[in-house]
Amino acid sequence: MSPQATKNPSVPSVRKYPKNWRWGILFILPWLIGFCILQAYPLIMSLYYSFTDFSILAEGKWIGLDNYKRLFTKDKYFMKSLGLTFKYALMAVPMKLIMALIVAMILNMKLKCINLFRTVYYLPSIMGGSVAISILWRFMFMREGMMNNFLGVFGIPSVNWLGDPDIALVTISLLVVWQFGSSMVLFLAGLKNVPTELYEAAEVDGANKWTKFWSITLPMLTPIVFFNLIMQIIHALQEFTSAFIITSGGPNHGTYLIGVKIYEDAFQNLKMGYASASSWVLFLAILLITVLVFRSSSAWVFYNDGGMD
Amino acid sequence: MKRQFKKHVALLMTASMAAVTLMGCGSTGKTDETTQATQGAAVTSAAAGGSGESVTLRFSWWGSDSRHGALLDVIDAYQAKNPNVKIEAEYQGFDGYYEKIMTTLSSNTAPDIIQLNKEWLPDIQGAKHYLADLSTLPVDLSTLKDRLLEISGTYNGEANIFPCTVGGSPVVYVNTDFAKEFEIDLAKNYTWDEIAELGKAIHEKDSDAYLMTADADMLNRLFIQPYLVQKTGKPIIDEETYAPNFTEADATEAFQNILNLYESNALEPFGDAATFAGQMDQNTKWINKKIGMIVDYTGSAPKYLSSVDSPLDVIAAPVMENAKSTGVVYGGDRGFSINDNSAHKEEAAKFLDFLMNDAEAIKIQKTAVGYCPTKHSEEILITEGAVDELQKNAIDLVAKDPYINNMISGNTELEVVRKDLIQEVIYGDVTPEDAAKELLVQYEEILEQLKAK
Repeated sequence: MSPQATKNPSVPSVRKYPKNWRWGILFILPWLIGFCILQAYPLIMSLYYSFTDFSILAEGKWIGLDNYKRLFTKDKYFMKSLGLTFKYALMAVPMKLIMALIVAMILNMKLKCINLFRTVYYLPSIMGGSVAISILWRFMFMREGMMNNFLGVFGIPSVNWLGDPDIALVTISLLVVWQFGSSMVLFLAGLKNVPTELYEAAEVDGANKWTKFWSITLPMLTPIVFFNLIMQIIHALQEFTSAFIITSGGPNHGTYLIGVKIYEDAFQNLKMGYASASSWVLFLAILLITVLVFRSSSAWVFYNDGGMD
Repeated sequence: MKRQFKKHVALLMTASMAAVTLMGCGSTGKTDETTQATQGAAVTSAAAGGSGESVTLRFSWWGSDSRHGALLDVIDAYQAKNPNVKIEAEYQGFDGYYEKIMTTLSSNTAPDIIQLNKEWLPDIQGAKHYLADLSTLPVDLSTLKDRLLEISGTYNGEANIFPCTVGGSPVVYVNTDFAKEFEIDLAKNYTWDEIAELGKAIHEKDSDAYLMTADADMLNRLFIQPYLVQKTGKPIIDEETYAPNFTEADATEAFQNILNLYESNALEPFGDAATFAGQMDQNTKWINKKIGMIVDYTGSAPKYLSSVDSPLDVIAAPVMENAKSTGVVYGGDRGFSINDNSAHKEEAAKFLDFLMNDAEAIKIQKTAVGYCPTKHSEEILITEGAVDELQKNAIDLVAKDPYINNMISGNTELEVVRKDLIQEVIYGDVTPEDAAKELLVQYEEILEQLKAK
């Protein structure tokens, strides 16, 4: 916050900055106030609550690490739901990224009315997270729903999409695959930035489409893949709406994602302190995974600006 | 260098993104709170007290469209008579209502008049004196049917809820066309085993058809709990000692009973029914006459009536042989409370009195809000011809030989444990024996905590 901060050697010095820093603060003040009240304060309080037995209705008592101990020793659903959440992310994230990339490549072609197509393909992402779509999903995938009727036309026996605990998680992860829009837009921007001379040179050398994709497009896109991957992992690990609305975490806890568990603990079982502790464990897990993905990036992310060693 | 910097900035950004996790769930609730806080502020700023001054009251309830319509009409009627009072309605479906009310109570932004389930009383009033003592306010409690207030609206000797319905559970709604098709004898009192046999025969005749269906919540409240009560003749938890009134063997039997009903195909497979959890009247098989019976509360009669074309009948719930009790509860499961923090408790009470006791209000509501909790409401509605035959019969069934349940037996945490275990039993993750063992272990821990409070 202080002017000294700009003297960090890694940042190119901007000499005029210190003089006007008050103005800078003033400009970001609306955001800063919002951040402090709506994010920083709840964040700190949730850490505090995680060490209490706060119940929403009654003041909590300090109980030290009891909530955390209980999570890992007594709560038979905590590790299960954490595991399910990772499984969900493992399915949903790659499917979504692949889908986004495929659609981005199609939309990168020179077609008529391409802007209309781009808008249309972005629409599901605007609606996808909503409750209405989740309800639609439930009707499509129920035992006598559209999906099974459709399969029935081809003589395929009906699948218990939402009633079988093992399949329900897959059904739910299909819902987010559909919301590929924001990743797609980033991929599209990335595709536009790939220098055409690279393709021209490759064509001169006789490369086919597949080689061009594999040796030029994909490496050039790795920074975007990297960014999308991290964002989508974080989103997926916090998934709530679909599992809550479509299956309410069931059947038999088959879709009991950690987000649903936190909600149930906090607002149904009135254990806000305990739910806060789960949130912090989830937070640390996300942080850990993010750091690991970052660590791995030097091995596979290619920066066009000469950042590559 | 450049890449290093980029990475640091990016790491910082993602860390802050991830931090949002911790607020993720709260965010929707938060918005609610803020809007309501503003509304709350508006209420406080409105002049308080005397009859001539304008007062704004907030009234919240859950329900379906028929209840919403009825209560909105009552509000209009009251406002027409009391032009100084403005009542803001905040209504929704049952999903998420409990969570919303708990959050608003704790943040002091709760409405003035609140519909509540009687089972929530210990959670709410046990934590803090959130609800007003109705006996100190201008609302006439003497009109209520016998013992209704005591059973369904009193906590720690204080009247906190004005019960808005009388009824009970379980009863069995029957599609009479289905009964005719499969030649089901509706004059008979069935035992659990007979239901299983009947269901088996029906499913063998038509592999698409099932006798009954249920979701986890129904299995818990309408199968397991009555079964345990039939077995022991007592509420499942003792109010004095906070100890279970049933043994491990009893619980094993109750879980086994559920399993039998599934194995004999008397119940539609759990996974299929789960899609309709909380709205079994929407079950496609029930609508298409492929399910013949649903066990439910007396209050659900209207929703089942409107869900199918066939005429419905109601019969008594299954009972085991040599049962010590019918396992049937009778009383009121919900009602209206007044927020103890309200700036206008008197005005709120006057409205509540109009809502529940005034003949005009009763005629407007008919049975959309609840079934005749007061003596005179029944007289008024019967003369009006507004009482539905099916519901009246259902209530007569439960009123015949009920047992008196206590509040601790309806505790939410205890219910969650049962619901989890029922599902594990159905999916074969645990045997009924192990489920019963675990049930008692978990109950001991929860009850100890509840007792300490």
